[in-house]
Amino acid sequence: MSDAPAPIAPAPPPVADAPRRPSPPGLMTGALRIFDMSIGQMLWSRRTVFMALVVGVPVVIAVALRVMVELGAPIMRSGRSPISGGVVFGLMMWGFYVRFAAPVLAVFYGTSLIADEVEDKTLTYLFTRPIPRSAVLLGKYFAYLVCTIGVVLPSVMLVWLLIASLNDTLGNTFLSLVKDLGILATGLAVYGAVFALVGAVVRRPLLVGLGLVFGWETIALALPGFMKRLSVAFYLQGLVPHAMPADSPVAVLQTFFQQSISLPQSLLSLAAIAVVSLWLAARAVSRREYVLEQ
Amino acid sequence: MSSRTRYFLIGSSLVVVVGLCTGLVAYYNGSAPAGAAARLPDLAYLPADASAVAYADVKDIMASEFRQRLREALPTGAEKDRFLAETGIDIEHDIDSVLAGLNRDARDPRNAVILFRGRFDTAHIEALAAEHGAVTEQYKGKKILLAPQTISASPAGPSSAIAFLEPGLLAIGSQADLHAAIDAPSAPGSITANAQLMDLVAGAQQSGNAWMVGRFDAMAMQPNMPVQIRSQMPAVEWFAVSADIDRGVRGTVRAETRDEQGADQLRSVVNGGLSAARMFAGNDARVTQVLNGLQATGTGTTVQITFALGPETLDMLKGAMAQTPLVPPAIAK
Repeated sequence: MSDAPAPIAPAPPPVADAPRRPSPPGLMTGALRIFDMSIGQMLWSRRTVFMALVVGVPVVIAVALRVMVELGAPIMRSGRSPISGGVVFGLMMWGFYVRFAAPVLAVFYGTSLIADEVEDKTLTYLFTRPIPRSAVLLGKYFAYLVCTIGVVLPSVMLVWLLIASLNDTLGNTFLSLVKDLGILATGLAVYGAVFALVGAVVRRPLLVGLGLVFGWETIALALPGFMKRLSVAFYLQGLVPHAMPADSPVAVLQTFFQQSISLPQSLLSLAAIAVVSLWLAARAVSRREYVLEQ
Repeated sequence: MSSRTRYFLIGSSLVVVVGLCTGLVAYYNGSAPAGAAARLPDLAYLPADASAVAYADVKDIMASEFRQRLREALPTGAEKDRFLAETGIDIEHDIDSVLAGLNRDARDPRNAVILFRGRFDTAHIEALAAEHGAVTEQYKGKKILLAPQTISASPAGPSSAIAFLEPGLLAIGSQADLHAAIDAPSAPGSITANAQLMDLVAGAQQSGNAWMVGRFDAMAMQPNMPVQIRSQMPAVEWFAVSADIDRGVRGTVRAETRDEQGADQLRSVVNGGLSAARMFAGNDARVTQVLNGLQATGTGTTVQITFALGPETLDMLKGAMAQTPLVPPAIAK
């Protein structure tokens, strides 16, 4: 008999822990994931062609204006006085961008944040992900913001570079440009939030949105009393009231009924509108039962 | 995020950043002063101590309907012919614009440098000056023609001189003034460094083809300034007068006071004056029509009067002048 030691029995394998489920991402992490997924879809959609047209028209006009001035056409004069490029740029900013492009783009993009997913019947795929429902809306809103700002601001910059130096200098109009870019970005953010809410709670959001932009926003500004305070344009106007052109009967009427509002008041009000609208939209998306038509 | 989306966003950001950097550099190279100076580069020749600047777009004014009507009403030309004989410059055809800078010591109205932009026959002007006994001086590479004392009756004054600052830019003034004008662009002492004055110049450029801006205290020292005006407006710091001469004349007189109280008082004086004028005008249609074109406005430290003389007002005044002899009959006898 040998005294060979008995072989040591192998230690029993450790009891494997039950696989731990990763904790679901929070609101912001979820929103960033949705943003990452949505930005490309939003940027390369047919809607962007429309956006390119909206912001491309002022650039084409600016190029034409510049070429005509370079060729010696006397178009930058009022009577015998020269018109400053800064004045023309200011009018284009208000006419094309702040009063038209920002609300219209916000209507088309903002109302479609959730409506498109419902229409394409893909909302279920987003809602079955382990992220809060409100993160879906928030992520899409961020994507809208980056997408529109990324297209609109370069257009403004090109228009400024082409026009501002006519009978003026770039340096002279630089502060106006910075202010106008800020106003435009603010307008896109606030209008976007408002129309995200419209898109989340209304059955036909596009019609309602267009009604708000071309109906209520214009009429409210011309109404006396507090009604104008229920429009976004009133607070945007409060950021730079002097820049509002009074070149139409409605604009003159608006000037007549204009109430003064300070810059901090305007900024606070716009921030409140954006935050409240987004919160209400997120709440609506979280609670609403979307019925996808078969 | 796909790579093409990333590239698009990077490209878009680059456009915005490059534009903002360009604007920032342009802004720090001079904002408001450069705006006025860019539209009127000749301002760089006016010394920093100039207390007032005046400009006229001669070509524009000469071509205006107003000027044609005025020429019909007031057929003068003696001064123009004398200027042509002495300098060889035809104001009507050779000059595009005139820019004048009045020096700080404004008690002498001839203490100014006047820049004429236009088309000049340099050789002809030099030959005429030599005929009159002018002496040539070279100063920092620019030729100055100094007038002798014998032609002291010329409009530019006893020590008048002419300099060719650039091709197509002729300066008239005293020898010292022309030296200062030649020094101004290279020295940091050009008038374009005076931000407050340039701000007013920029505003005046927008509102007319003839304008004058400056410090009121300097102008008040002028010996031909009425004492009543000099004593009544001590609060006025800056003034700007501009006129847009086309079919008629649209103009603005703007005063910047030292404080709001001074502006309030001045507005009261102006409004009172206008009311009194309307009252005394009575049924005189000509005066009433002129007064109707006057409006007094302004907020804060600004007092502004705008006026407009339409073609019909000019026609009416022309008719009135035709009825009224220029020399009263008593004197004519």
